[in-house]
Amino acid sequence: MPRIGQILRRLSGMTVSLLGLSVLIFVISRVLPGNPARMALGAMASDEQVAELAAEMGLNKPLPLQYVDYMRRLLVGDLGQSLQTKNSVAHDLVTKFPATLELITLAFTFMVVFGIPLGIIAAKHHGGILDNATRFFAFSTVSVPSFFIGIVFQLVFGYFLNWFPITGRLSSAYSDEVVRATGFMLVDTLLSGSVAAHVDAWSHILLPALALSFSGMGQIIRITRSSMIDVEGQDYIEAMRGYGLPTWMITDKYTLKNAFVPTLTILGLQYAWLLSGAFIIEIVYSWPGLAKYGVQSVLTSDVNAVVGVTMLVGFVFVVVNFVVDLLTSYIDPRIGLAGESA
Amino acid sequence: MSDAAPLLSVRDLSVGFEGFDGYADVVDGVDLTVEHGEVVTIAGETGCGKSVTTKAITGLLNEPPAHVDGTVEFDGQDLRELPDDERRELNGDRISVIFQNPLSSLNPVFTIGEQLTDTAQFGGDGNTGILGYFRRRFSSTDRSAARERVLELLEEVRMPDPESVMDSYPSELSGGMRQRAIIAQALLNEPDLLIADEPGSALDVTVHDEILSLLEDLIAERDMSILMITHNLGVARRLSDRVYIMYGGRIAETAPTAEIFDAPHHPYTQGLIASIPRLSGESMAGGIGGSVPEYTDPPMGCRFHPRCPYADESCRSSEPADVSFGEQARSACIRHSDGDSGPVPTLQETKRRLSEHEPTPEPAEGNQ
Ligand SMILES: Nc1ncnc2c1ncn2[C@@H]1O[C@H](COP(=O)(O)OP(=O)(O)O)[C@@H](O)[C@H]1O
Ligand SMILES: [Mg+2]
Repeated sequence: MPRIGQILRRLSGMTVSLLGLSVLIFVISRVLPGNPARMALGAMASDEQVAELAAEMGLNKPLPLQYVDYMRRLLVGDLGQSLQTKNSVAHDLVTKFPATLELITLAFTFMVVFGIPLGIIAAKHHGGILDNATRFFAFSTVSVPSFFIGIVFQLVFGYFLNWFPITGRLSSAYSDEVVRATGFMLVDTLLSGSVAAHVDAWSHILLPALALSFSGMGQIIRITRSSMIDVEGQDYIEAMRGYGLPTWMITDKYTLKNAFVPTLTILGLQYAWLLSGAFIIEIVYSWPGLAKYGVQSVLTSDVNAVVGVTMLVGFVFVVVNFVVDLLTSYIDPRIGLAGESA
Repeated sequence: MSDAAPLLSVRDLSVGFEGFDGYADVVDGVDLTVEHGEVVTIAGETGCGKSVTTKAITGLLNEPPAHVDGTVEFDGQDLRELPDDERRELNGDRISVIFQNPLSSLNPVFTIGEQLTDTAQFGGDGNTGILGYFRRRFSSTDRSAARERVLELLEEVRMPDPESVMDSYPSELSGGMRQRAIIAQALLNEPDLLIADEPGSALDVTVHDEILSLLEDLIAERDMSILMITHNLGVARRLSDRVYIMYGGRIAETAPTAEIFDAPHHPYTQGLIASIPRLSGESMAGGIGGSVPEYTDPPMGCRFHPRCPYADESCRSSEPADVSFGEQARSACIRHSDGDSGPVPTLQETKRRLSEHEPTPEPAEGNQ
C-alpha cells in the first residue's frame, strides 16, 4: 500500500524527470539546423531584419542564459509565440490537445474493455478456437501498421458501407450549436444538449479510436492471457480450489488481481505509445489534434511550438508512468514504488 | 470403530504425468485407509510421491496432463465418480488441506482477512452462482459472521494479535504466522478429514516444533481424522496412530506407529530409522545411498532395489507382494517370503550392510 511519504518522494522524482526532459528538449531545439529567425521571416527578409528578430527571440545569448529565460517563462505557462500561427504556443496547445487526448483516451478504453476480458476468456479456454483467434489477431495487429488499419477502416466502413464519416470530429451542420467548453467533443455535444450532435461526434471518433486501439489491444489480450495462465498454476490458487471456492470467484477475484500487474505495466506503456500512434491516425483521419500542429512546426522550424509539443508529450509520458507506479503498488503490496528500495 | 467403514479408503491409486521427457509413472498402486478419528501419516523421502497422492485424493490434479486411476472412497462415496461441483462442495466442507508451502499458499495481493473470510463464507460452496455470491457477499450479517469465525480460528491457532493480522498482507507476516493462518484457513469449515502436507517443515526448527505442538492440541481438541504427510519420521512418531512408509510412489510398509518403530520390517523403513541417531542408537554415516527413482524410467521389479543392500536378481525381475504381519501391518519385500537373511532382516544387519552398500547406478538398467 503506497504511503504518503512514498508518494511524495515519487512526486519529487517525477519533477526531476521533467526538469531533465526540459533540458534535453531545450538543447535539441537549439542545435537543430536552420536559423529560426530566418525561417520565420522567409527568404526575402534582409540579414538585418533576421538579426533583429534573433535578438528579440534571445537567440544570440549564451545557451545557459537562454535556458534560464526559457524556464522562467515556462513556469508561468509561457511557452513563447508560435512563429507559424502567431498565437502563443500555450494557447495553441490548449486548443489542439483535447482532441488528441479524447482520441487516445477512447482508444485506451477500447483496449481495456475489450482486451482484458478477451484475454481472460482466452486463458480460460487456452488451446481452444478463441485462444487461437486472439493469437492471430494479436499477431496481425502488431505486424500491420496502424495507418494501414485506419485506411482499411475508412475504405470499408466509410467508403463502401457508408456507415461512418471518415474525416474530422463533427459534421459542419452542428459546428455552430456546439459550444467548445471542455474541448472534448463527446462532452461538449452533451453539454450543448444536442443528442444528434452527440451521436455525430461518436460516429466521427469511432473509427480512428478503434484503428488506434488495435495494435495495443492484441498485446493486452496476450499479456492478460499469459499472466492469467501463469497465476492459475500458483500454489495459492490451487489452495483456493482445495477449499472449494466457486470457480468463477477464483478466476475473477483471486486470479485476476495478481494477473493484472503485468497487464497494468503494459497498459502504461500502451497509453504512451498511443500518443505517437495518434500522430499518424490523426493525419489519416484529418483529426484536428496535436499531430498536424506538431508536424507543421517541425517542418517550419517553429522552435517554440516544437518545444511546446515535445514538452507536452513528455509530460504525459511521465504522468502516466507515475500513475501506473501508484496503481501497481496499490494492487501488489510487495512492490514498493519504483525508485524505492523497500 | 474397527467394523465401521473407514472414513477414507484409497484403493489401487495410480497417478502419472505426461511430460516432455515422456510419461512419468509417479504413484503406482497405492492402498491406504484412514479410520474415523485416526491420525495417519505417510512418510518417505522428498520426491516419493506423497504430495501427488494427496492431490489425487483431493482432486486437485489437472487431467490431463495427469492421469489418475483407482478409487478414492470418502465416507462411502467414490470421489472419482462424483460430478465436479459436488466434489468441490466436499472440498473445504468435509475434506480440507494444509498445503505444503506456507510461503506460497497464501495469495500475496489479498489481506489475510479477505482470503480467510472468503474461505469461511464461500469454501465448499463450489456452486454459488454470481447472484448468490453478490447477495451473500454484501449481506453484512453473513460477512461479519464469517469474519467472527475467522477471528475465532486465528485465536485457536494462537495467532498473535489476530485483529491486525486480518488487515495484513502475507508478506508482512513471518513464516510461522503464515503457517498458522493456513492452518486456521484449513479448519474454517470444520472438516471431517484434514490432510496436512508437511505442516511447518519449511520453517526453522523451533517454529516447526511450535506448529507440531499446535497440531497435537488441535488433534486432541477436535473430532477429525488426519492424513499427515512428512519426510520426517520423528513427526510421524510424535503425532500419528498409524504410519505408511512410501517409496517411489508405492507403499513399502504400514503398521501402527509403535510397531513400525519397534520392529520395522522393510529394508527401506529400516534404512530410514537407521539414519536417525535419536531412533537407532548411534548414527549411520550418509543415510541410505542413492536417490529416489526417475519416474519416467522407474527401476524394474521392486523400485527400491537399486538402493537396497539385500537386492538380488529376483528383486529386479518381480514386483514384491504385500506380506501381512498382523491385522494392521504389512510390508512389501521379496525377502519376507524367501531370504538368506531370514524373512525379516534385522535393523542392525541392514545398518551394517547399508554403510557398505554401493547403490546401483540408476540408468544402467531399464533402458535395455
Ligand atoms: N504436476 C506434475 N507434473 C509432472 N510431474 C510431477 C508433478 N507433480 C509432481 N511430479 C513429480 O512427482 C514426483 C513426486 O513428487 P511429490 O509428490 O511432490 O513428492 P513428495 O513426496 O516430496 O511430496 C516428483 O518427481 C515430481 O517431479
Ligand atoms: Mg511434498
